[in-house]
Amino acid sequence: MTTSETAIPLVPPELGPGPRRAGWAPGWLRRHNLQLWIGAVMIGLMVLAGAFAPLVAQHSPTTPDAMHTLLGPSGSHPFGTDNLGRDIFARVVYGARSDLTIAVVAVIAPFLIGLVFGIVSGYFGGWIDTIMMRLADIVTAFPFFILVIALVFVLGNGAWSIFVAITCVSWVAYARLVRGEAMVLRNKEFVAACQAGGISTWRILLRHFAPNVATQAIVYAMSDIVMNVGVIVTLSYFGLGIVPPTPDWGSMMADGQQFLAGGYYGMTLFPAGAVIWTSLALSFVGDGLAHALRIER
Amino acid sequence: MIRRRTLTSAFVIAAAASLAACSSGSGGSGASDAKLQSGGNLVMARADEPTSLLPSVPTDNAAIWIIEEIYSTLTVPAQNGSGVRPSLATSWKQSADKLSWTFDLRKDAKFADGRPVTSADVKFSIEQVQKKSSPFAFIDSIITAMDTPDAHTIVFHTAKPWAPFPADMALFANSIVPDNYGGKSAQAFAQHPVGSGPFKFDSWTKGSSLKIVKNPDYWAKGTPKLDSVTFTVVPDSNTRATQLSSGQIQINEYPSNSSIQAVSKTPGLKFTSFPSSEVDYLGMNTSRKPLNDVNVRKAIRLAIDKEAILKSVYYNRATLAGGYLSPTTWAHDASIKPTAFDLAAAKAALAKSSVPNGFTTTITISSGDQDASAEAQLIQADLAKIGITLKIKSLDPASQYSTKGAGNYDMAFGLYTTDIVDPDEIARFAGTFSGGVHTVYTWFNNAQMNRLADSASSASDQAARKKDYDQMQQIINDNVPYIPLFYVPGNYSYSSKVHGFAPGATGNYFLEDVWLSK
Amino acid sequence: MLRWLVRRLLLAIPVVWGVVTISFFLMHLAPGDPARTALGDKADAASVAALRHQWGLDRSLPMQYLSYLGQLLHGNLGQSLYYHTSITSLMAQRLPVTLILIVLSAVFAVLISIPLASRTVTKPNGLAAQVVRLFNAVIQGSPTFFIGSMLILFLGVRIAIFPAGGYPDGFGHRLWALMLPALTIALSIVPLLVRGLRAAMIESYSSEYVSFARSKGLGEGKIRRRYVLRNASISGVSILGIQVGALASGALVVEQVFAIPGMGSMLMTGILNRDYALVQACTLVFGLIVVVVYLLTDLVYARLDPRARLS
Repeated sequence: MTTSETAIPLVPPELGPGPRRAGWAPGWLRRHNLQLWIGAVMIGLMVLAGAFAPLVAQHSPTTPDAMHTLLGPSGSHPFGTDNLGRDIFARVVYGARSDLTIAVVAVIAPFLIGLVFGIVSGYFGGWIDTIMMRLADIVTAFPFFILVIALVFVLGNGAWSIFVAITCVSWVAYARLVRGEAMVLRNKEFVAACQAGGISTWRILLRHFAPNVATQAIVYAMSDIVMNVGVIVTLSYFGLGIVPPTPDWGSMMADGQQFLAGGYYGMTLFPAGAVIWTSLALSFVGDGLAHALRIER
Repeated sequence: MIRRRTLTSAFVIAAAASLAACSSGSGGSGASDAKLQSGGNLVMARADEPTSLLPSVPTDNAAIWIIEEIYSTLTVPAQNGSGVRPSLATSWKQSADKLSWTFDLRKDAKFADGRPVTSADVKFSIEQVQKKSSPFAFIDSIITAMDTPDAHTIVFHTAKPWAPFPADMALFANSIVPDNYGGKSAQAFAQHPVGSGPFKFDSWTKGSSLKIVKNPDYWAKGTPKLDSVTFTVVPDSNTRATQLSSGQIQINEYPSNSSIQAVSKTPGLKFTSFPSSEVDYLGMNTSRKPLNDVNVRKAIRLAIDKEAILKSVYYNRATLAGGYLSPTTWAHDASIKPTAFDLAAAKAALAKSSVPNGFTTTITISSGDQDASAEAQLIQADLAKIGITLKIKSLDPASQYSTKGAGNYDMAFGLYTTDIVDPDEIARFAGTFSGGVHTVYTWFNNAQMNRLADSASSASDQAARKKDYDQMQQIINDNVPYIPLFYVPGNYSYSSKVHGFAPGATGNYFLEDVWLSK
Repeated sequence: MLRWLVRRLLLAIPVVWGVVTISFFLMHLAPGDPARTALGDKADAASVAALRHQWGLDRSLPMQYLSYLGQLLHGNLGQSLYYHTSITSLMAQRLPVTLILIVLSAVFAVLISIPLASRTVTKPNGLAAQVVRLFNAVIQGSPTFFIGSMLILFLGVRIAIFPAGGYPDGFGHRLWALMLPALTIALSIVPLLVRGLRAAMIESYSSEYVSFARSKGLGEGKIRRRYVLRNASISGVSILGIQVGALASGALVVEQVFAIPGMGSMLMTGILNRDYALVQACTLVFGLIVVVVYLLTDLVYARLDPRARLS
């Protein structure tokens, strides 16, 4: 796991070295960094809907209604109702609360762990690096979902377990990314100057390394949130995620699958749409952020 | 028998069957005027793979129902679950002192390798089940000694007078294997099992399919009619449904309830519910407060709208339950009616209890079991109306065994089925503290239940036994350690080309009577 | 070269040991008892105790761990508690299925990604590039199980070109049945692959030797074939190598959805039934696959890219 590490395309190429090339987006979009704004508005809408869910949704997301099951979209139920007669729109909106909260919170710890791990490993090198990177290799050598599923079995279902499981696995990507940056930075002249000037190692790491190496990690965090949404949703689909009746997009999709045959698509497609909307928004934000940060450099 | 409800049920995928075949036409009734035909290969798709074909080992239906086709037992359950009929044994009788049973074996029965079936084989087979590590040791522990006066007679001595004995001998675990496994090790034998049943083991590709072929030497002449049967493993219920409508398979085991409509609309397909001994219940841990208060438990029973669950979760393919013994046994007490949904009465019962203003409790469900999840959410909404806050906790099935076994839970769903046609096994398992797992994990301990169960199993007169069982059902109904919710049938969807398929109340397929029309 | 190989293999030992150790303790710490699961809830406590003794589960955890390691060192993967047979024989049946699935999905991923990536580089502002971009974002946001079920719905049922799951007899039929599952896994890594390939292509277009080739009057098509795609393939190989873990994870989900009897479905059965030895053997084999693929990736990388050295 030597050479190939450098090849992980964790961040958009716009951020990488080399001359600036025509990017992903049309010129007018790039000039005003519109994609950042579009993404931010899209994700903002989702967050606001979740935050003010009781105002946005007219119905309770959890109260069953045996008389009105599997209805199609209508005025009072814009997305229709599910197999227990609950309003799908309300469930999608409330689902944003649980899914987004965990997805975002579950980025913070891996980010910090990976940052520290990567800086230490990259700066000191040598046997510290060897040991630390073997630890990262062990996590990588586990298929992702196996580790997560096993951890959830040990810890029991629920938001906390999802958080711990994701943290245990996803710090590695940050660590690798930051380590690579730190290794480059280590050989820069100002580091030698600092060392010669008698500035303590910790101060160098904190004041000069951390801000510099964090940029890429922040951009990566955007796509990591998307991945977290995917993990939470898939865990719920396995029945290992958020506990009912708390609405959550993954279990909604899982519940909906068996009704596709009967022609009831709403139960699956509306939560799927929410997942895709979120992912689209975050990838706009990620690319836009990459672009903005590159210009600043 | 265990019906495995595992995570795989979460992998219910886009369904397919009806989309492919949702054309038109009504009712998929089979051509009942078809002429009886021999031959053909029947393909049956099922959710799980058998664990082992050694009769003394498994507890999963996937294994049990194949074992019943490969091996013979001394007796077999009657299809309607009313009693047993002769199989390897032609007749049996209890001694005058009621402490032994003598069975006469048929002389024309042979193992698939050509050796005759003798009393020595029977003795060896039962000894395997009696070994401590066998799951059904508790059934055969009643046998204290076995005599083999000649090759076709076997005498079982029992520790006490034991009326259910002939039914015990119909248990799949008591299938007859060759003495000393024909000289092989148990493991080698399990790879190439030899029995005296209607079908012979042919081949097993682990993870995908298992094939059995007609045993031409089967003692019941003229059967089986099929040349072979292939069991395929398809965990996803919608994939099974698609394969059925495309003709790739003829029988779909465990079709999902939600597929009923689609299948019954498709010409050439049938969806049939066969009587089964399955009872689905809601268990309460009576060793915990406030569930130790019978008024609380009664309030919960009154507050649950079972009709709504029946409609949205079971699609009306079940019956509301009353007494804890299923209607498939003669011991069922029809006078105990399902408790009617009555919120006012529920509030009144709660008012009389130790927690008149309600309380908070938890229900544990199997992760990935969408039916249980839906059911729990409906009950949660029901109980909220009388002031009980129900939290839902989900655990994977193996963890659930441990938690329930340790009494570390408040409420949980469960289901039980009987393995033998005599009511003794299930009456004890679901009614007594010592006869199973603390009265299906409720920790309900009533000394009278044990006395009644003992009295019922030692009496020979069915009417006298019925009185004891009625009383047991009444005690459970009065004390509500758990709420029997539904009597659930065995559902199968299958091609109308399949004839004579009628699984019994204990689940046996009786495939020797099945035939395929062209 | 030989020294490099020896060093890499030595470094792999602690990784494999770590995988085995973590999976051992994780599984044993999870609540649940394989003996109770095997015997069902009707069996009495004495039966459960007897079976636990027979399986050696009544020993202390460190003892079980040591004896398991000892057994592994003798190349013995042990007995499956659930399938009642040797794990080696189970592996022989299941592993090839998953390997074929992983290789197929890697091939699909490359076949899909290269044209998509080159579109976005050659005409970054074109409509096609924008569509690719949207496609990428949508796929990235769609969980694997959802992609799988949609593919079944449209290609397996509506159009019915492919079987809707299952694993029939005969090599040709099996390969055909693996198409949709492989496509599902492939799609899950396409966004990453496109992004990486794009980066590589941009880099090589802006490199000096491409400018030199241009100045010599070489056609754009030739430049693309000779320099850009070659460069991109190097990066593609390393991304696929890095993503082998993701491919294996994808196999776990997809095998369940499509009823493919591979390692993933066996592992899931093992986890659910607390078949300790089976789970440990599966994670060990998955771990070995990852380690070996990383090694191969670096070898291929070194072969394709003269700048890279095996150090």
